[in-house]
Amino acid sequence: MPRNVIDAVQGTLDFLILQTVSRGEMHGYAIARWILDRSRAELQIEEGTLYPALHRLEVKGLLAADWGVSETGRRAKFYRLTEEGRQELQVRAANWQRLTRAVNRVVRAVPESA
Amino acid sequence: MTRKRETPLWRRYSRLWGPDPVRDIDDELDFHFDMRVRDLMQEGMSEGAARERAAAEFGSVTNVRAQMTEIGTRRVKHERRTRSVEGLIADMRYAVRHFRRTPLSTITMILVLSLGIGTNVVLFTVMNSLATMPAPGIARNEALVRIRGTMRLERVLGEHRRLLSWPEVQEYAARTDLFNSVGAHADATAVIHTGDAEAAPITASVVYATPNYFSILDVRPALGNEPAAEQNVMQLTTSPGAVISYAMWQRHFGGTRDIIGRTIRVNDVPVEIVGVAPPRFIGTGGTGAMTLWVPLAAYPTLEKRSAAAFISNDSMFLSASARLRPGVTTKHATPIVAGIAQRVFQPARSDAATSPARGEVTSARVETGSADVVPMLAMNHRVSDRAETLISATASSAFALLVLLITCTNVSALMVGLAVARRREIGVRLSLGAPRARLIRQLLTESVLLALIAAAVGLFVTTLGIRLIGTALEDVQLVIDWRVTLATCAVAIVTGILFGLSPALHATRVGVAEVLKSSATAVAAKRSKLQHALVVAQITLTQPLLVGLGVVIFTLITDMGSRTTSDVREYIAEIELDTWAGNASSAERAARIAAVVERVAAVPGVTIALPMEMGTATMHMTVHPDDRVNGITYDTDMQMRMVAAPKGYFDAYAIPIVLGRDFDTDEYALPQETTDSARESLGAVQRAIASLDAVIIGSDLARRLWGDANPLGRRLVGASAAGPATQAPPLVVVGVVDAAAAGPSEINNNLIRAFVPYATINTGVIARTAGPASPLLEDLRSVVAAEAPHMPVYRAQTMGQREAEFKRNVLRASSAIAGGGLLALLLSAIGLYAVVSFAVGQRTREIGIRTSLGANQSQVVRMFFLSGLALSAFGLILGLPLSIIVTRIIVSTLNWPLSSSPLLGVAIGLVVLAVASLAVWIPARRASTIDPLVALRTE
Repeated sequence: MPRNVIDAVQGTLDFLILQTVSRGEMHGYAIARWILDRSRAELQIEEGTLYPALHRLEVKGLLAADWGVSETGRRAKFYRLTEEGRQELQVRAANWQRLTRAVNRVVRAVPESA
Repeated sequence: MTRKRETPLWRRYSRLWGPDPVRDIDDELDFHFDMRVRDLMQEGMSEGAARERAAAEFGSVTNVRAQMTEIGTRRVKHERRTRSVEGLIADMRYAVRHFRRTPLSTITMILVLSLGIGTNVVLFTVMNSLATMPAPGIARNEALVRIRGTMRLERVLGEHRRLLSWPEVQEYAARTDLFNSVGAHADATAVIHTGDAEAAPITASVVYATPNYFSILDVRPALGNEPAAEQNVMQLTTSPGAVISYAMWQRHFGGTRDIIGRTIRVNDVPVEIVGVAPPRFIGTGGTGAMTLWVPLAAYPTLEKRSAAAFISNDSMFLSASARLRPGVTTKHATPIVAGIAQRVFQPARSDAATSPARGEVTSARVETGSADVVPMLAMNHRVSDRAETLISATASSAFALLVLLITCTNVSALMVGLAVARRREIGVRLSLGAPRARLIRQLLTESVLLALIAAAVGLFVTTLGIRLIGTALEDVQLVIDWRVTLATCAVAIVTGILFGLSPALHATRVGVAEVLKSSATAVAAKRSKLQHALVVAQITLTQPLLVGLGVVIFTLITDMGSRTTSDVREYIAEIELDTWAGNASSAERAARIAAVVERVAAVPGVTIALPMEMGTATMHMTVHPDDRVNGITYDTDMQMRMVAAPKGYFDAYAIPIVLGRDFDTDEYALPQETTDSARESLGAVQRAIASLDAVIIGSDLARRLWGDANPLGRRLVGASAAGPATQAPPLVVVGVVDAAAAGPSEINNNLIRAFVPYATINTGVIARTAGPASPLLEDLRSVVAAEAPHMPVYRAQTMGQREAEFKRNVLRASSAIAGGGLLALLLSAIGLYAVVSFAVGQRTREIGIRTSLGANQSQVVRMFFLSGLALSAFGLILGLPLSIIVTRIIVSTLNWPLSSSPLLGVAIGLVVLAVASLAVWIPARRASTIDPLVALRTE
């Protein structure tokens, strides 16, 4: 099975993680799965990028982590959004909306003028 | 399935001690990997294939792990730092809250600790200052050194000081490879006439210095200039100029600015004041505050010596100070300087002549001479024995450490006692989940904080003390610098941990395994033995110190009672002169005193004038074998003080002659030998007294030696090991005086007093006045000053004033001892209190058993009370011999009625016992309040 790789740009990945975790406490594997599922397997997050990103966000204080028990009864590290993370997410979400709108406008404008 | 494993049990526990970032990362990645494998298997893959797939997807695990580890370690470090700082702040806040809740015990502990740490602060300050500070007014500088002459004496251990000769100094100065400059100075004492006709002459130190003296010390006059440089010490080109010390300027010249240019006379030579030294500067050490500096070239003129003093190697009268060249150390310079000294110094010709300034006679022959180079410090102008310095340093450190140890044990025991009261609080915190280590840290924070506060108090008080009395110390400058502060803080922290550790361990030992408990009890038992010993030692020392307190109180009370005596003391004026000032011969001095006595006798209001004797000679006498009477046992060796009773003495002091007669004119005549003797040594004094033939004794001695028999005409002879010296001329008793009449007070009551017709050396004049003497004192002073301008008046007061002053001085010394005594009493009380509370805390369970078995409360209290009291009684008994010695000393110095001293001893014993009982009773009573049920549950 070929890997669908849309390498998430740095920053976009953080945004995706924050957005995902905003739903509630999740462990790393669940975060990866959720993003993969939601993007209909378009966005495969490599583990090598995901975990360092999670830890970086934790150090920045945007995420908080606790050890808990997973749905399979395993000890797992669960991440959740901190208040700071929530604010950061709002800013990023607004930025993202602006960016996509702008990009879409540009993309849509090209065929009309051509 | 190796991958899928539970977290090992041990690691779950290890997590209690904080996060382990590496393990966590492994766990997290493992979990991810396992989940992926599980999902793939659910999709229908075999486990092997799923694993392969998952591993391929994952990529380089090591790489990821490395990245995460780096992030993780950084975070943990950061967290640990914030947490420990936060923890410390929390601990401190908690400690402060606790202190505020128990202010009394906190203040007590701080006071006790500041005593212990304060003693160390003082010790550090003094040692540090002595080791690093030059004399007052001179800045610390590594290049500033002394070149000291040393010598070894035959049959005498250690090195002794030797002054330097001028040729020797020049040899050193020639070594420009070692020294930038070498200066020399000679110290002497001179009579100074300030030029004010009204003012009496003063005695001061004179420092004869080379022109570079001030620049080497880096001292500039506060006012005016240095004396004009005389390049050739052999020749004085101008009239000499002087720099006077700041204290002299203030005290004798009123601190006026027009002092510069004024002419004073030094040993009768006119000297112009050209400058005033900066405050506190008194030279390189060894001289007093009254000092002036004149050029070395003026030395022969002012000291009436030949300029040839500068030529000979034997004429050693100089000290040298120098500045080292940059890069040269004392270690490097010393062997070279020693080599020069050994070449220049010729010991064969120079026994007994090495310190001409003091006139000391060195009986041991000089073997070798050398020299060394040492940093310029206030206290190293003498070459002292290294061992001696070491011993005194060790002794004082031992004392400071002992005080620290005692205070620490007291505070420690006090804390253990308090910890019993805190057991509930600690128990609650433990049961709420605070780890033991955390609680111990909390308690240690408290004790270290206490110790640090105490250190701050100690530093503050010492600084204040230096501010207040530091300037009174003329010879040294004390500083509290970073070294002292650092050492104090170190001591405080170590102290805090040491005295806090045991109570902390003890207090947090609630509900820990039995093993721990039993071993800790053994430790506690050992500790309490140490505590007992220390408490006993404290009480032992308290008692003799309290004798000082008793003396102060007693003297104050008796003084108030005897305020209105109108006895002879107020009718006697004593004027003592500094006969040694200037370089007069003994014959000149005797003649001057005689003239002064004659002049004073002529002053209106003076009825009798007598020469004042300088000290009295003590002789070993016994009764001539032919003059003994039956039924009386005779001492083979009586120590007798031969008091001079010149013409008019008995009248002046109103001592009635009850039998026989006063001395007659022939007997008053001085033997020629005495006045002419060039040296007024002890030998000369004894020779003179040996030539006497008449003696007058007190009625008490007459009764003791001859009972009711007639003492007149009986003989006293010298006592020697071979028996009475009957060949030598005897002293014949010519008169007996009333022993009960007040004479001049005695320093030591144990000596027998006898009167002889004249003194060998006189040092002043005594005047009996018709009315009270004190209004006449100023007149007498000016008369004496006019008659003997070369002998400054050393003191002029009535006999009563002198005795009062003496008493005041003794009282002041006793007050210090008394303060120490009160402090010691307080410390012992705290120690006792702590020991008993400790015992009560330790034996809570036992108390519970006893009470439940039917012991009533008073029995329990009695048990602790008696054991505490036994300790204090033991200490009191041990202290008894010491107290007796102290009492003896006080009795002999203060002329105390011996009868009242046992009373004092008993009173002090009772005071100690009373305080001890109180200190014991308070915690003992606490034992009775222990509820047996609670007590049985506690351990």
